Amino acid sequence: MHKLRFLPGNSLAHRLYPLTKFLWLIIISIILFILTDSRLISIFALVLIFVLLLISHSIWHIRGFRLAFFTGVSLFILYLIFDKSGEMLISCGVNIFDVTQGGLDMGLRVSGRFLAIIFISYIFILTTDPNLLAYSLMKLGLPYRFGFMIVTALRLAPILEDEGRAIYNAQLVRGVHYDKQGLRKLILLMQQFLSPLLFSAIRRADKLVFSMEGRGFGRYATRTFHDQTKPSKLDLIFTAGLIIVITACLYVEIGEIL
Amino acid sequence: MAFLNICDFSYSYPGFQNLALEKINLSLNQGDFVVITGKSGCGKSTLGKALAGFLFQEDERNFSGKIIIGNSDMAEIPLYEAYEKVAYVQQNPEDQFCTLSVIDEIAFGLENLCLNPQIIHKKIDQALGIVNGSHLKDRKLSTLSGGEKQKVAIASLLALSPDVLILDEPTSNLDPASTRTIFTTLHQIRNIQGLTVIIFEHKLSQLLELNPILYELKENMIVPLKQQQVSVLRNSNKINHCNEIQDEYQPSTEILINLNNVNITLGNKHILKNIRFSLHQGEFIALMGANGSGKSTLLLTIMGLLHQDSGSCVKFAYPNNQVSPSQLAKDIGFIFQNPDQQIFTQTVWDEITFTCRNLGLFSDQTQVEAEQWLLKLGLEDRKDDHPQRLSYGEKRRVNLISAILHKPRVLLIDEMLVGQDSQNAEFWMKFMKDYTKFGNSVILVNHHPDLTQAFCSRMLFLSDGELIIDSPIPLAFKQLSEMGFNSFLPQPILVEAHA
Repeated sequence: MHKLRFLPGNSLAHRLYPLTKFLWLIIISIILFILTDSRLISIFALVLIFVLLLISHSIWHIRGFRLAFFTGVSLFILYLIFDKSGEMLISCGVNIFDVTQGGLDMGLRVSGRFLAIIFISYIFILTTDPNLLAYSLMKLGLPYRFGFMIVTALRLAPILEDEGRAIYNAQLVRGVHYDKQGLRKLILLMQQFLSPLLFSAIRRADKLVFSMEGRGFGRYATRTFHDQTKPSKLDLIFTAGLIIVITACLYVEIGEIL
Repeated sequence: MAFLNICDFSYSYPGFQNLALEKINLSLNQGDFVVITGKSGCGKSTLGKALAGFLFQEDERNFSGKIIIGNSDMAEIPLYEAYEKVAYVQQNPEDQFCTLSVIDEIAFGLENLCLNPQIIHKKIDQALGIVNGSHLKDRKLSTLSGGEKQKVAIASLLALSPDVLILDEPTSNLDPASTRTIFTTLHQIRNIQGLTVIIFEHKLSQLLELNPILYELKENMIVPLKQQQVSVLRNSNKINHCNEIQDEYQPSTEILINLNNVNITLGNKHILKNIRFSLHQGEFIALMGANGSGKSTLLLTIMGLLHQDSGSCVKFAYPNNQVSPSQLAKDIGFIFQNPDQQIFTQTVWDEITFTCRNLGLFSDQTQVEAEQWLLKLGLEDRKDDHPQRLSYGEKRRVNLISAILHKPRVLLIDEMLVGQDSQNAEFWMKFMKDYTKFGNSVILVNHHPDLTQAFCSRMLFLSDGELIIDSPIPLAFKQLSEMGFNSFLPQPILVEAHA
């Protein structure tokens, strides 16, 4: 199993400016809730999983994906089983296995929305360097003190993860049996685990503060950035394409309502 | 007038009565290449932080005296303005990195000063060029070796054009080859840039070649070390220099641990390749090699904390892969590199008896032995203190008692000697040597050829995951010499003649 995190690459999604992707992640998520046509939502979900598979062939082995996928599929099945509204599409003679138009629509709508949002979130995470996103947000106007909260968190997270593993190992080699203790003992062990991790995190934060301030952090209200990357033509074309697709979807949606 | 002046400087840490530094005086000129040494815990890091202005950020005024650099009183200027005067490189470069890539890290300070991006790029190139690290520019920090990280840490501060560069034990985590590179780089920086370089360091043998101005911090005084006080005993035939014990080296026939064709892959990297060796009873093995050669991985594999992809790792009478680390705790004491990661409890007493209690071995006898250990290692008054309040050296002693109180047959120790002065390091080596006299065995990861030569019976040398040397000490050094690993050969032994 792999962790869900940025995978360096050179796909179209990788080459987009981080803020373009972030913006479209939000817009598409909102559109998915505006749309009620189950066919449109399903098409969105199918296109997105196709893109996801192009980006990562081993998506099935990324932690959490199977759970999310089967949750979406389960939602679809639950609606088929319990929503018996609308025209009968398939009749098996056993009520629970009968499929109705209402059940199918609701199943596709709810599970399609759920899965489409999961897929687009995975695409965003797998193709966006969080560090670049933080820098892009700062360039857009996010106060740099907040921006560097994200950057330093990204910096410290893997270090603290390694330290957590080292502390766990250090307990094992001193005869701690995590799997052979009562609940009370387990709580005590957790305390013993978190205490050194907390000390370590505070110590690191303390050193980091001196390191940052010692290099002029906070001297001025603003700062410059060496990286002058800006949205490219690719972002423009991608955005124009998505506007056309979304306008078409909304046209179909509104046309149906009218 | 001198460029840097410390006048009657005293300091105590908040919440502590004792003075960490008392009436320190020192004057340095611009462009001096200075090395300040001293015993572990004598206040070297505190003095370094004071020079960098780090200690003057508390509301409480817990210092007296002055530190003047150029025309600036370091206590009077805010920390974010101190960069113009002083750059401070911390012991572990990981602690000072606040971004994820080399270019972002070096640009960080320059961006804070609102410099134009073009100027920033020019200064990044200059700084990397000075530390011979131009090839690192496009790398992620997480992919760098220890020595490369140290170079980037130095470059990130040099980019700000400080007057003084201070380094707190910059090579404590580095192998001898990387140590030499860093020291040479620092000397070049001083020659090219003309800035004052102050290094707080224990490893003097390699620094002596660069003719620094040497000071010792002891008993609250900084005293210059004159040539007469530093006698370097150069041995013309270092490879043959070995003590009596190693000449008589005869391994026991009883094998405690046996590894056969062990392979380990982590991610896509083949870390250990066909490792094959046996640990015999009573052996004191030095496990050496460059940073990243797989030493720690090997210890973790023996302890069962990592599982080999192929091969066998048989420990005592347990079948291959049939014993968990917690079951092995009775027979193997393991000491990790970082003391903080192996301290879990609320008092020193609980900490040192933690393993015994977990293993159900705590008795009146072990209680008496624990008290004897505390007395022997000077911790009897700290029994009820929180272990995290101890000094680095004291924590190390607690780690050791915790690992040996239940008398394991094997000790696996990962870089115990980091940050220890020569006297302390020698004390620990002697301690481990004595531990093997009772039929126990020790494997110690270390970067000290001199101490290895003086105390260990055998050497395992890893290079890029391969065990290229497995020999008694004298032969091992001869092989290292033939293979061109000169940085790992014993250097002249430095004897500090204390007045």
